[in-house]
Amino acid sequence: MNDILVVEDDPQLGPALRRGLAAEGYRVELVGDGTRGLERALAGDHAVIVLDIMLPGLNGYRVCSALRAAGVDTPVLMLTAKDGDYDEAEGLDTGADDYLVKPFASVVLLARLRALLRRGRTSTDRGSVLRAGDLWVDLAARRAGRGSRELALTPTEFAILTCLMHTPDQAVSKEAILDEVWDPAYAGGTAIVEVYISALRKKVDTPFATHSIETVRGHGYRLDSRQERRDV
Amino acid sequence: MTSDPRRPGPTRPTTTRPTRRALRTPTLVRRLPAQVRTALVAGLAALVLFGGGAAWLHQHVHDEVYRTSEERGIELSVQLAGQAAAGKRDISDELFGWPLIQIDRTGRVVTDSGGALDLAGVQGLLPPPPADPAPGRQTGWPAAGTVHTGGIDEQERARFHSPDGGRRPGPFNLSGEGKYQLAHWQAHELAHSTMTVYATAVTTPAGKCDHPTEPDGSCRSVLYVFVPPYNADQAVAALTTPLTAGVPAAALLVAATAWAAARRSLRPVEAIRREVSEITDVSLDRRVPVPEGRDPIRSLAQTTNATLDQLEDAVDRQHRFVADAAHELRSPLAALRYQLETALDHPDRIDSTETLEDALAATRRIHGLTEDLLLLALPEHPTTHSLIDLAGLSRELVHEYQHLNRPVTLNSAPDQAPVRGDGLQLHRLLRNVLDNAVRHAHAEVVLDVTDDGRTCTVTVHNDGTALTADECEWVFERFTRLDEARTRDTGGSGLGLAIARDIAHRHRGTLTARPSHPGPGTTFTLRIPAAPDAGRPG
Repeated sequence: MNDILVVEDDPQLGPALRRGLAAEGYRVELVGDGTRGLERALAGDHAVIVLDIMLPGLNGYRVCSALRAAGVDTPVLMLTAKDGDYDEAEGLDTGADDYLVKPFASVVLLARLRALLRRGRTSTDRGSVLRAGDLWVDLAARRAGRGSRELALTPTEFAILTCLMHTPDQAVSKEAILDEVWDPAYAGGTAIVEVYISALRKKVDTPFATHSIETVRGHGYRLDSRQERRDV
Repeated sequence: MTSDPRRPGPTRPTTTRPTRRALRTPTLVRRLPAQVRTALVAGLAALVLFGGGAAWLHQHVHDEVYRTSEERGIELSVQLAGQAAAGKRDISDELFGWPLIQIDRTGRVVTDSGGALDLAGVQGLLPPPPADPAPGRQTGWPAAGTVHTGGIDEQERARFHSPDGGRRPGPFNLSGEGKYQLAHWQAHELAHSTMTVYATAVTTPAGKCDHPTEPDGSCRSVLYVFVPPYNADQAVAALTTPLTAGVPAAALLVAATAWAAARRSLRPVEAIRREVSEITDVSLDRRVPVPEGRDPIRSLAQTTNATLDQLEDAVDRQHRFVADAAHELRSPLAALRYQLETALDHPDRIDSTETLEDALAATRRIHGLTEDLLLLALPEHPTTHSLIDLAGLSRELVHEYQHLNRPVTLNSAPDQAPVRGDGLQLHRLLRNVLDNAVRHAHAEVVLDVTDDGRTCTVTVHNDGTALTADECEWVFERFTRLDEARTRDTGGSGLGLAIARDIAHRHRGTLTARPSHPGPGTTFTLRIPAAPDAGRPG
């Protein structure tokens, strides 16, 4: 069921995406305008949708909005040109799950797709803020915190926390975290994930006497959504 | 959902600003030129001041002269009251013929002259009678009162008026009919006026009195003497015309002077405007004339010139930057294009994998450069306001470089060093500085992070050849390479440190370089304002 719908009108990039993803073993459907893209997204049963923003017909935001309004919860990866006007924050607000700025490395695209496929379908009622217990991650503003206390993180720590917050109470393997967060050029093993999880725990859990980030032996890490700080 | 097909994206909600209903000068006045407004204000002020002065003068003169009349009124009252007390009939003001009327206690008119009775209802208009004279005295002291006269009693109209309403012609003499005519006309003069009237109590002893009012045969009466305002009126009459003509004329003169002065003072502004309008992008070296007077116009000219200086600088830098950037992009593009064209021309002779790898490398270089250029073109302040841990970031980077076998170590760092801004940009900043340090180091690169609560500081020290004082500034210029060969080899674009400093400025911080003390090498110092205590655990 690894069908990917690619909605991209660029005459070079569109076919290039189809070739590249097909080479990875996906079944790819390429569509060149927004209206047709929405039609196919509503009709088909794709595992993930790669959606450009600047499209003839309906633009990417409107396609995504319409999709979510119709109750379709297929994960959507938006491709943005990021030139100030077209904001990834808006993309997330209209219901996209992730975004990539053009031009992007092919390996990065593949890693993000893998992450979306791993997460599977989630509710259509997303918005751009992830919550689990009193932990929150604002994807658009790139801020995170526990309750009213904002946390000072590095971009990598933020990415790891986001990765865990997408699927609260589900174990995420170290390989999956490595794949999703790290540059594909990174050749080291999963040990680095342990190092960062440890640093993250020192910021997310230790000061609040909580245990949100749990180790699941043999499976990876899990975010426990029942944890909340008690002394407030 | 926006309805504009050119601009995708959900509609942003527009915030309505509440309008402030403050007191404002009307639009018409606001639109007038400055010199007219100044003239208007000056003219109005002059009008008010001169007008006030004139009105005061008018009133003052009137009052002064009337006071003199009133004094005469008192003297006259005393004199005539004495005569009345002695029993004299037909008392009158021989000199000026002022109206007077004597009324006894029963309300009977004893005597009148000067046209007092011709005033309609005069008896009802008079003030209440004063107290009786002191025992042993026949007259009291004149008491001042005010009377507001009404119209004229025209019962004997035909006697005094000709059929067309005007007065009967003379003779106006002081005897016979002429006297009565004079008196009537005087009454006309006094109609509908307000004037002072002196009331003097008179006691005429029995024997001198025709109609006694008292049991003992004496008469008690009150003599009313009117003080007409003729003299006062006459005195100010001479003033009225000059004042009513003079005041507006003076105000107009003031306004005209103000207008001329304002106009004159604004002339330098026009000179400035003219100069600025002629400045184009090719004549940015021109400056506006600076007037001598130490006033806001001089400041305006000076500020304008300073702005033009900055503008000229900025345009110069822009020109140089665009030229440099284009130049930088040409090299990898040339390599890319040449490689691909060659490979297509000689498909069998060229190793396609190698070609593609080279092409990809060139593409990455171009990509990197365009990303750098775009970053420099972004608006001043980052739109992301994340809370970033500089200490954690430093640790991560050090690990990364160590993993790549680069000699980078972290000397000391606090647990956290929070600052506000864009994490990816700050990562980029540190990486650029570290790349540069690693490239130039002989043996080691050392990082230090401190947070004193107000500023987070990251220092990167490399033990390579120290930079000279000049180089410490040049090194941050765009596209300068102090060591050409080296930077090109490792893919540096010459923008690395320029971008690093740019990012530092965007985060309201600074990035500087200086030779290290002690020991050889160069130290780069990054300072960024610490975020207020938002991330520190309680």
